[in-house]
Amino acid sequence: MIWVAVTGLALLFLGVPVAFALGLAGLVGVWLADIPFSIVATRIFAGVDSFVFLAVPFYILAAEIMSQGGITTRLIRIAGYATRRIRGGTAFSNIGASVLFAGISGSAVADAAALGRVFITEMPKEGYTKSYAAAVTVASSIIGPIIPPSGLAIILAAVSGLSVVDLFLAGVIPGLLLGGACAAVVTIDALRGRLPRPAPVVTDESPLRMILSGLAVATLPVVIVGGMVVGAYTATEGGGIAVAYAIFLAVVVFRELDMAGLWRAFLKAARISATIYILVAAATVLSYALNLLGVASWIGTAAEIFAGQPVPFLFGIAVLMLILGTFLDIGAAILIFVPLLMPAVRELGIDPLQASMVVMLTLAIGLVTPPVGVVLFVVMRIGRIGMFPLLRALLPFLVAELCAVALLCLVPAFSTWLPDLLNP
Amino acid sequence: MLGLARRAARYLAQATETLACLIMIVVTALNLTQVGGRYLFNIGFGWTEEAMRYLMIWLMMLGSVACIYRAEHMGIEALESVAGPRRAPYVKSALYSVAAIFCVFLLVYSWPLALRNAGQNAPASGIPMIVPYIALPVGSALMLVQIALSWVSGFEPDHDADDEVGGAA
Repeated sequence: MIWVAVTGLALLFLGVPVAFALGLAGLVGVWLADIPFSIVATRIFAGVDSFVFLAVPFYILAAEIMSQGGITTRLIRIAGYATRRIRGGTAFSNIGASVLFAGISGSAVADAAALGRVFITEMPKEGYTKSYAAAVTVASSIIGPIIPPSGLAIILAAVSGLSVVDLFLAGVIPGLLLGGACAAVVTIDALRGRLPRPAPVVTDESPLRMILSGLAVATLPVVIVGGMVVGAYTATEGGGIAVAYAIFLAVVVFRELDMAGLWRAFLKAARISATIYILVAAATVLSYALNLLGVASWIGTAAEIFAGQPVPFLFGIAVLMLILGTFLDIGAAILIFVPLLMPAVRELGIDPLQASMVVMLTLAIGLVTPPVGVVLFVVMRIGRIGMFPLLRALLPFLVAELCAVALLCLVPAFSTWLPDLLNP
Repeated sequence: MLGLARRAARYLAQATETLACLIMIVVTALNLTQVGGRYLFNIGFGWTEEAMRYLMIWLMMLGSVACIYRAEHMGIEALESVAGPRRAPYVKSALYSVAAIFCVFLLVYSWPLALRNAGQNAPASGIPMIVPYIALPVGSALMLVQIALSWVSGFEPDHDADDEVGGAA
């Protein structure tokens, strides 16, 4: 058991690509458990041969088409229009654009990359420090994987047996809570007079046209999740519809994507999907090995200590996931630990949706913290900004987001109210 | 000789990523056929779901080959940045060579598995099960080739792709 962890972590920190590091750790586990290695190939095949999981590539593809098809600039414009008169307006519109962007993409990295390119160049021109501009982008980007459609929710559904629709719906309020937490920090800074007013935007586009194109984009998540709620199609089919809608918007309505651009979007989505699939496959091997080695009983023991105390247990999960999230890939962490945690969660009478949201939020925060914060690295590269100034500016936002996590642990209704209401 | 290896590495990556892209297009089309067929023409296709799942296994293995050359498999890049730009490709090749151990295991153990399933057909579509299973040995063999070639060819990331990777995260 220890050797599995040591192998995995050593390879991970050495820099062996995550998928292969997890797979090799899994091989060590299978060897220690004295199981024939032929099971590895079977597990890998079974791990990714899933209809639920098949939904992931389509949402990646839809987001890729949307961001190459000029959708991002439209989202930013509409968010900027709403906040054009208030102090700190552009910081608010950064958060608002993240919330809107979250509705078309399930990825924090895509969000940070797309919005970062615009905001980290534009905000300093209005008088924000570059590190503040980067911090707002980083902090609000993690709304992406929480608000539906969400790649994480699909992975979580695939391993836990929860329904994708419920997880999508459950993510709406926690996602908005994260946005609220970021906005609270910006509000405090604005009230102290530290933030500039937005520069007047010169645009030849009429507000009506702008709002219409914004609505056309914002329709997507409503149609996708709505169709799933009424049972018109599955999450995977919804992904196909999202792709079709994205192509329609980018090619026909906005006319910003030609055939070459479309091919590029498919190519990139195919490669990203391959890396996620192989990661999932390898993590399945590790998860299987950990089960053979009896990790589930350890967690069962831990759960007994928390018997009758669901809230401390949730906080315990949050702390564990915050630690794991700092160095482990978020999808892999879900694949390996959620199946181990869920029995204990049910045992303690915690709603699995609430526990899922706590897991998703805390792991997402891991995306923006060192040593392994993918979003952090992307923004550092785009903004050409050092890690320490960025972290300094990010700190208040992180504190606010941790408060949002605490709220989720304390109040089950934030996660369960919407699924109960719409999909009883 | 070295030039040949460089060209081979690029061709292998381009061929596998193009195939992966074509699979992505086909899978998307099948998915829409499934919904469209049900609502527009009132017919259910039982085989589309199976076909999509098996095609994705091929996409995973072929795409993973190209992602080695494009340096798109996620990982911590601390060691490479310490090594400096000139030595970084060799560090990366070394790290991928460690990863290759996993591919060797996969190759060795998935080949008999594919043969064992050769006689069976998938329940809904009738696809012979060797078709999806053979993706594992074929893909891992190609990954080994790509990793070996990377010592000579280095890596060639897609120019703007590194800012936008990371789908599920």
